Amino acid sequence: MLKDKYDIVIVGGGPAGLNAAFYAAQDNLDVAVMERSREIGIPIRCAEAVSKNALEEYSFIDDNFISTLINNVHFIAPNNELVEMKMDAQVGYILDRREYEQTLAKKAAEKSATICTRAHVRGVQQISSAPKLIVDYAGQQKIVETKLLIAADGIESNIAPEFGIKTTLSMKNAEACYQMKLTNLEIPENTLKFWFTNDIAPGGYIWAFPKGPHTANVGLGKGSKSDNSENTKQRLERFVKRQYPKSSILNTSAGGVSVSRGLDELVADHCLVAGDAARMINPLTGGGIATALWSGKKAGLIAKQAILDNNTSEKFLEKYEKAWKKEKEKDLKRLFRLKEALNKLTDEDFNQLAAKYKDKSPEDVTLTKLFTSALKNKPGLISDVVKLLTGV
Amino acid sequence: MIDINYNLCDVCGTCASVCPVNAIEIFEKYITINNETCTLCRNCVEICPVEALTLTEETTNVER
Repeated sequence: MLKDKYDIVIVGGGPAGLNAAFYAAQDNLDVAVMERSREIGIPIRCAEAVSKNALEEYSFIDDNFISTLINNVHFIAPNNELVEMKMDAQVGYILDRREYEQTLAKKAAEKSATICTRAHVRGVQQISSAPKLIVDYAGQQKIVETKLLIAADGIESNIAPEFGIKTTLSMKNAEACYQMKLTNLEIPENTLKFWFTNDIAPGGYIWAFPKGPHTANVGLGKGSKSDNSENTKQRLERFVKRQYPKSSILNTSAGGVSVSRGLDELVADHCLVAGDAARMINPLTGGGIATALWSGKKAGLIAKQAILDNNTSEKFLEKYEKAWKKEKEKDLKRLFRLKEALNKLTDEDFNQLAAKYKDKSPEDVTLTKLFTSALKNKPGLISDVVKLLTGV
Repeated sequence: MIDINYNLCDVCGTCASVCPVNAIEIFEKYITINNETCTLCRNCVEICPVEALTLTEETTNVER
């Protein structure tokens, strides 16, 4: 049941919000997660890949939510030339996100957080010493007071702007994706596949991530400022018809991804913003689970401290923003520059790249090597590469 | 105004992420666009992955 007052309200029950609840919760604090959907873990608008590192460092690993182990990557050029490579650092996983989020929710609840489904935070009535939230809950509208709010409401990010935090993405920095969970297809078990082709996915790429035998998440993201003659869904349909003509569709979903440098402001009086809502997404890959878990953990710990110290001012919460700038922002900005440079590559550039690497042993090929040499072969991009490597 | 085709819309929220005036609200099974605040900038129309949004001829402030 929903109470009238909380110490901390977290808007959104995804990886960021649930991890925040886990780290903020303790017996003498009232912490609630308000999730709009009727169930934790749905809908899944995600390719479900995450690095082992991120899970270990900011969350935990349990076999019950791991679909597949990943230790290999296939890069496929427009002319279908395939380059096989080992992943840069650690191996990764394809998650069962529904199961993962349900497990996260259970862990947070065991630490005394309250998880409320079908609780839609519509807006903020008053932002003074304690914000009053307008919440649609079980068919009724309620006013809920909270000392502190963590906005973890995902790509749409409707709540943080009410506290004066600007989260709107520019068109250049937003990508629309479409994904199908396909079955009856051949896909190597521990391998992520990426296709780069400006014909089908201009300003983006196509992915196929295995979800167990003969099943995979196959999706497409394209730049929003690229060729609009065909929509994202139609482009994926065209690809699947060509690549996996015998497959059947188990589900489909659309989704938006930030490909930006992140936000300048992450806090306001009584408010922290985390995860996709804070645009904490790897702009090169579109992956957001790892940074969502990082931000949930950080925001949760700082929110708890704020309540215990009875200080929810912007000034106190700036610890969170400083942690982001110190630990993560630099990486995101570097990846953004890399993405901007890669966007300038033509299909012919990708083909040449694949030709150069196709006979090398997979152990000798890494994504960084591949992308870096891609840029070196393009004289016009040298300044971008220099910027990338020097971090300017 | 912006017309929403509810048969196509997947309620993914991408449109709301590029709305400069926060006029789009995402519910569990549908979206709404506030015509009072919408500036007809077309960002949502351009980015929608399934072309569920279209700009119609009719606008809110036309004199008859």
